[in-house]
Amino acid sequence: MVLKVANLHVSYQRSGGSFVALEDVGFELIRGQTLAVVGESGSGKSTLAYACAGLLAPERGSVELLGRPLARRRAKDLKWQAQHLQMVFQDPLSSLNPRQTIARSLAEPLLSAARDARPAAGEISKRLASLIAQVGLRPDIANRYPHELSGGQCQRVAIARALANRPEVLICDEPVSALDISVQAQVINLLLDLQQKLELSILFIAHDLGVVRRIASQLIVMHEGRIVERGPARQILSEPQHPYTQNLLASEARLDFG
Amino acid sequence: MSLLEVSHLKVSYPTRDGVIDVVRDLSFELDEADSLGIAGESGSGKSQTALAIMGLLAANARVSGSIRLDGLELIGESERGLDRLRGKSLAMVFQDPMSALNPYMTVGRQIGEVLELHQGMSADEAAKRSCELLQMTGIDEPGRRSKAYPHQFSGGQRQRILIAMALACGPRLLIADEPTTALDVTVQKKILELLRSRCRETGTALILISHDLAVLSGMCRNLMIMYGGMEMERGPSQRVLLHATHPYTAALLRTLEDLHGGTGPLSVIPGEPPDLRNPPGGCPFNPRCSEVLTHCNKEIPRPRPVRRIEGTQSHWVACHLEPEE
Amino acid sequence: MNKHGANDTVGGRSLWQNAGERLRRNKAAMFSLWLLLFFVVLVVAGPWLAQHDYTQTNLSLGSTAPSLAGGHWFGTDALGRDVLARTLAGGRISLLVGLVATLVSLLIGVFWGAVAGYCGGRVDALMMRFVDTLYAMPFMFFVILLMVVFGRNILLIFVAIGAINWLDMARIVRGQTIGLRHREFIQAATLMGAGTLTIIVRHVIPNLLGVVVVYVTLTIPQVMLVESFLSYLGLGVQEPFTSWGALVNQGALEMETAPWLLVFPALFLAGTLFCFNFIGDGLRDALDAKSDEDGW
Repeated sequence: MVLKVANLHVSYQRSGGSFVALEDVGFELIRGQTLAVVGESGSGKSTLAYACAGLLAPERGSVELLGRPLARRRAKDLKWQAQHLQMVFQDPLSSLNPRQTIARSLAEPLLSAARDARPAAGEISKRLASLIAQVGLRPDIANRYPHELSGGQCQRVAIARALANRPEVLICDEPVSALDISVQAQVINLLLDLQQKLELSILFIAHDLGVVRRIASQLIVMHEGRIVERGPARQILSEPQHPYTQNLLASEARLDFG
Repeated sequence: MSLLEVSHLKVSYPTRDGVIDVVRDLSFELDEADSLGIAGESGSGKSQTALAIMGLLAANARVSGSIRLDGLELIGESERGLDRLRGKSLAMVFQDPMSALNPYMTVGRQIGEVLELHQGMSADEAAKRSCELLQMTGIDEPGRRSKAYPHQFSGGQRQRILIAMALACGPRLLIADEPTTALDVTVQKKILELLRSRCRETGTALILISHDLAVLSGMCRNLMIMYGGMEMERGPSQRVLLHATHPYTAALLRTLEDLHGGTGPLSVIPGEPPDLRNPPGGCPFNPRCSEVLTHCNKEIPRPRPVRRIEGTQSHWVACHLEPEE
Repeated sequence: MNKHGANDTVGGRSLWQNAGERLRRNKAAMFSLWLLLFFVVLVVAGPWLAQHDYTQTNLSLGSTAPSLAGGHWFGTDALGRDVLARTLAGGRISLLVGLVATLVSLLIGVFWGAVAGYCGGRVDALMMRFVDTLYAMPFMFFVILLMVVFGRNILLIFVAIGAINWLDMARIVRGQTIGLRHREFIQAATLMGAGTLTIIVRHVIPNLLGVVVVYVTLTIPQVMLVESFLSYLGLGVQEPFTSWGALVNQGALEMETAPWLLVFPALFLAGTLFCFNFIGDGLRDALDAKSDEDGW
């Protein structure tokens, strides 16, 4: 078990009182597995992703990564965490620093690593080249800027950057929602491939059931901050038990051949 | 005569990198009270086509060709002339309802404005009719709600309001550009059903634009697939979906079906949608096509009727694989 | 065009380069840029160009009108000093004050604002309350205090003006930082274990430089005017140094009898201010983020 979440509770202050984003959420992510979290807007799925990444401090509850509780204060802890957990965000263009070349963006995780984990100066360009190749991009992309790349290419760069330090856990926050359909399939295939090669454990957040079908072995359905259904993905998708899940499946747009 | 006749429509923009052609030689028709779904990815030109019909293109756009609504030529029509048509005969619903609604005006007044302007109603008559329209689009307590402001409604409700506004004067044609993409999937279905039923009631023809073929298949009688500014395939929805002739259409359908079942890697269309600053020669899809022929990157295939299937009813495809007559 | 249709342009073109190109197409801004450069060259090369030293008095030639033949192209002032030479010398001081004071306020303001905006919470509150307190202080009082304590020193002028201007810069930078803080690439940097200082220097500041640069070009003229105001009050540069502001103020007193004393320095001052404003406008348009998103 690589990631353990228990009794997670997150709320925000809003005009008109506090708004509960997550209520008593708990689950476990097993090594090499893909756990998908599906929900609509307001379900709390993005909040969950950020809390699991340690970017958000929960009011109550705990997140444990490889047995260690997530810390947000000490630089040493953050650097350790950076070696073992990374995230891919929804908007590919926004997740890259617009003022940096791709090479510089990819080098960042390598340079930010704790001293003993940092590769030698000469090594870095070799590592960059292998990262770029690993996500199926051409080497000349290294000198470009994010705004010169397409959405799909940016997302591949984001994935490469996340995998630079070979983390065990990858959190994907709606990684293909902003991409064209023909490109979505490419990125999903890339994730499937990388998961197999690197034995990644993936927490995959999505609002689209279709995307989740292929990639997820376990599934959690969220609604208004709570988990309403959980279990093996195939089972839930073929025989949903909770009325909300049933509604979600029924509303899915299907090809109507008349 | 069809309600809408688009003929050799071309839209381009001059930029520092040269002229970008976003719509390249597009032709299609739509009959009264009929429906057409336009499917396409980034760079396909579907949104630009909609804006061209509505006369809402950016100031530096260069348009040529012909767009006729009820026989009236829209290209070259003055702004005054277009203003008279928009809201009355032509209407549009956009993807983001919040940017289409005035945040400082009550919802009832915004709908009323359309009625006062185009149907010459008095303020009172317009207010009454606004309530009726809100009711018809599924907003409860319309009397009270019509005095509320846009930010007090949910995304789905705002879209309903927009639909009410668009159909207020019973337009001849309604264009909906990705109206449900920003909405949750449970809300999406309801909004689409609303759109279809209201258009049927008012006898309005509908052009629905989406990147999602699944959404279009259930909603529209006709389907047009666009790519790289051009039409790839066009015809009655069932025919296009059951007998997809263009390799792009077939590949898209395969991807969609894959997402709904099966295991292992998904079938992919390699490569990316074209960069319009530097489009491929010949057919825009040729660099990614699995069945590409040697002359596909030299000659642009013009739309031709599909012969291979029995009883062809205006099923067109723009592909060299299909022989020209 | 490669096999799969991806674009094959060579090398990357950064956002700065794109903005630079857009600026180059703005005629007003480019003209202003060249004119400004011309002024700067003139002012720097002044002593070697002018025939007369700007401090040299010649009472017999007091208050003569400009004449090309007479050697005093801009005329002379009451003490017979060459107005052209004095204008150029004054320009050196004015521009120097403008640039140095702005640089000081830039360095302090950007760091203050970025740290306050990024850290948020108590740190932000403390830092910005300090800014608010300084804002409440009357500027003139502060300057007079400095003068009293340190005597009238040209360096003081830089300090005084810089010390006031950084407040505006800090507020603007803080606002921009707050907007940036939640962008995904900042979150990603945090996740990668980058420290707060690294994030501020490497990710936050480069992405708000656009706004800062525009603000700087609009601050420089402001600063120059403040300096001339100080000169008017007698608190500015001391003789033999002079500035455009000082010259304009002296010239205004003798406007009716010797208009050339006012006209030439005023033209230079006003011209420079216009240039900075046009350049600032041009930069703002060029750096407009929207223009980078799609070609249309």
